[in-house]
Amino acid sequence: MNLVFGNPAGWWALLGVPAILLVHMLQIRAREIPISTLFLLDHVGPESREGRVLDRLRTSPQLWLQLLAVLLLTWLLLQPRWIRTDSFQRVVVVLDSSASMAAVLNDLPNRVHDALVPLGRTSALTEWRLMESDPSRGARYAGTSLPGLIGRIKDWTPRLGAHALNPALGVARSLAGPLGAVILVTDHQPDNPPPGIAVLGVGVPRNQCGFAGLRVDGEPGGETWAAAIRNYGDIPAERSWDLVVDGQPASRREIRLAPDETRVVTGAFPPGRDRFELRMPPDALPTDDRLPVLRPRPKRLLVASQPPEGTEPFVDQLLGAMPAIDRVRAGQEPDLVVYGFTPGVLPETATHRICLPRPDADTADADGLPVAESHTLTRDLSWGGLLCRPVRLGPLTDADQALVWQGSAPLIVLRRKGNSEQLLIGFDVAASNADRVPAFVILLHRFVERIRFAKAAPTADNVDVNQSLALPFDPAGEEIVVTAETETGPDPYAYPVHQGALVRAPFFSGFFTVAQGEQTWFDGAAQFADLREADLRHTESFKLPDHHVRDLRLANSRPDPWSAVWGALLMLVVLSAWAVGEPVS
Amino acid sequence: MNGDTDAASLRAIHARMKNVVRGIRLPFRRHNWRGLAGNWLGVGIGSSIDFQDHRPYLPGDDPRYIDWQAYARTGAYTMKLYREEVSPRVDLVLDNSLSMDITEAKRSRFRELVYFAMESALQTGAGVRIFAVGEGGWKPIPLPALAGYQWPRPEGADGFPGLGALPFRHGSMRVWITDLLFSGSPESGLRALLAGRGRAVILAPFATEETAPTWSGNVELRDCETGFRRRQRVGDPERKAYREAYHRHFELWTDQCRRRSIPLARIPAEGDVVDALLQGAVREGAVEVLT
Repeated sequence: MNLVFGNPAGWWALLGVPAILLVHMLQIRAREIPISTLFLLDHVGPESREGRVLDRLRTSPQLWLQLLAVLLLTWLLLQPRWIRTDSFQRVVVVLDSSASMAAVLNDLPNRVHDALVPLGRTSALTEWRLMESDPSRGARYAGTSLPGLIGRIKDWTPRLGAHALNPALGVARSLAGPLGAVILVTDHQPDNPPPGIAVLGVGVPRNQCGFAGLRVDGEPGGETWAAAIRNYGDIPAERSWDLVVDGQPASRREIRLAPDETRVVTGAFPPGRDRFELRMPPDALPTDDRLPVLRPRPKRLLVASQPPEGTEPFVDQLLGAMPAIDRVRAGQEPDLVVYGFTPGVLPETATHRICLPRPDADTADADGLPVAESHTLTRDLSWGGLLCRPVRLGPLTDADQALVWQGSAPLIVLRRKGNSEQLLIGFDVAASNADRVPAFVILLHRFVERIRFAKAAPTADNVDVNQSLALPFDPAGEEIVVTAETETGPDPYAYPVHQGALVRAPFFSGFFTVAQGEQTWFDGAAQFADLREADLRHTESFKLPDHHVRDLRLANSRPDPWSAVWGALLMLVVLSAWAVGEPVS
Repeated sequence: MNGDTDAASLRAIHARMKNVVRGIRLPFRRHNWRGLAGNWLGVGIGSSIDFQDHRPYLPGDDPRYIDWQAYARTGAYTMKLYREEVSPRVDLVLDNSLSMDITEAKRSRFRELVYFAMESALQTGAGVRIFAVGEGGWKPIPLPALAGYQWPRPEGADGFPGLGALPFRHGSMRVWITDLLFSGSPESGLRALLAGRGRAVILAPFATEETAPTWSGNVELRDCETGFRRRQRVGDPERKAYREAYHRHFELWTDQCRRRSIPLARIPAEGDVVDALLQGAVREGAVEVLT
């Protein structure tokens, strides 16, 4: 039916029907008339019994005219409009991909369907588009079938933590065009949404508990784990959690949490096991009821330490503070060499190096404070406290990049030689306060980690769900495959090799691997630990604004061409009802 | 209406009726006046008790009125005829119920009919007795009171008036001025009117509002005599049913009066009284026109 009403509130005018019926049933205050022939009325009836407020309804031309007038008035107040047969609109639905939406997935298709059906009636033809706020995901549906769109919602799962919605809404607005509609489906009121966006709230405030974080500490072989369990609720909660090994519960503990309490539970790895899970019974948000734990296996660096005289304590302390550092032994090829060098004389090797000048290196004149170049190794580091005596490093080549200057003398230089990088220190470390300057120590840490990252070796770690994984993929190799372990079996997802920088952990809790070709580069355990998304107490449910549907109706319809006729007929009916009204005796 | 105004209007009415009765009067000619022993002779005789004539004694006559002197002279029994025996007797019965005052026109017409009847009787030398019948029975109204424009106070009615209790004079003309608006069979009342060899005339004034009311919609009808109230929604069907009931009521009275040869004249309250009497009463024989 192509009839819509511009003012649905006009239906209230139908209350005039029972009002008129009631008035015609009411005993109107009777006019008193003294008569002498009352006895003749004994057989004239029906008689209105004294004291009764209502009498049976008596039909009369006036009654029917008044009812007709109410119907006509209702029709006019409803502002009937007819959908133009050539009307077209595009509606883009954007699903909020934040993890808290997982709590409403069961009812989400129905809620969206109920909200979109009135929109579909505002135009002769509606093109539906479904997308989500996750920018890495494309459109989920484009077509003219609302059931088709709803079907695509049924197999959708949110995959992000808290994130900004406006970029996706901007894309949706462009897709919808100036006359189209954009509907954001979310579980909370967004902050400052772009104009022209209608928001449908599908959240349901609830209390729930879940794992809120994980930390694994300790030396290799003796690691211990600590997991946080939080009560996102306004009432105390009693939960149980299991330690699951190879899919089988190994132990169960009970825990009672006060409102908003976070409790840390600790333990050791099961003997002989590098991984296990902590599980709680699923509740409103099952995403955080499962915590996979993996024994971390960082890349180890073999370091050869040959520091110049006077710097051994510093270097030993530096290397001792870095994780996963092994001192090279005989016959081993080091990943990193720390040694003293004579400026201008550098061995032609492809080994990564940290080169510290010997104490007898020629000094250079330099004044002013140290100044850093913009580089990832020097970002956000302050060098103002560095007191040192620069040495002459010799002329810099095109492969050299000075990171820190003092005057015209380079204090720290990054040199590339083939696939290796060398960090040249241009001052006597032993004769400086560099060991007490955080910027210098941090830079050295960053350089070491840079070397570690570049080392092609498998590693294992506990990460957040959907966390970006920076791994040394072979840009000329095969595609990169992230394989998640699910209850139904391995679930692989492939990235083209040129998208190696986009590789992320799975968006759900669980164990996974990252491989390229035959090489597995990463063993991971993805955990959900977004406290903002796990707290469902502040989710909201609200409908689309009433004016939204009304505006679309007005845009896609034309007014009733017979309005003037109905209005004139109404006047005629009102006058007729007044004219045929029974005179008062 | 206060007493002075009422007296003034009654005086005016009386004066008009004195003129009216010169042309129209109660139907005395039609009435075969039989007193104790005589016929009615005519008008203009007077009202005192005087010996008028003799007639032969007839068995059954009251021996007290035998003219013994005439017997002594003639040896024949003769009876003395006195004026009072041969003069008409009119017993005037007023319906003193409140319904007679329902409208100004009816009230005025009622009084006109009363004074018409009274003046008709007086101008023919008839002896007039006046009774007012209302709630609680009847009461005599002295002729001087009415002649002195002291109208009896209307009262409520208590069902069918008890005419049987009235002390009608033997052979009198009973003139009943009433609107006949009470339920009940006319028989008992009419029988009472004719008791004692009396003749009856009924003059029934009516108002247009009674015959063709214009009530409409929700009305509360209050009986002017009993005060009883009745809420009624009146439309065309109700008005039609009322008119039919009204017609049936007076049809019954007319039929019963006709059976008993009682002239029943329905006198409209509106319009000139002479026209009303000529229109409603002459044909029925309730009044006669003087030539």
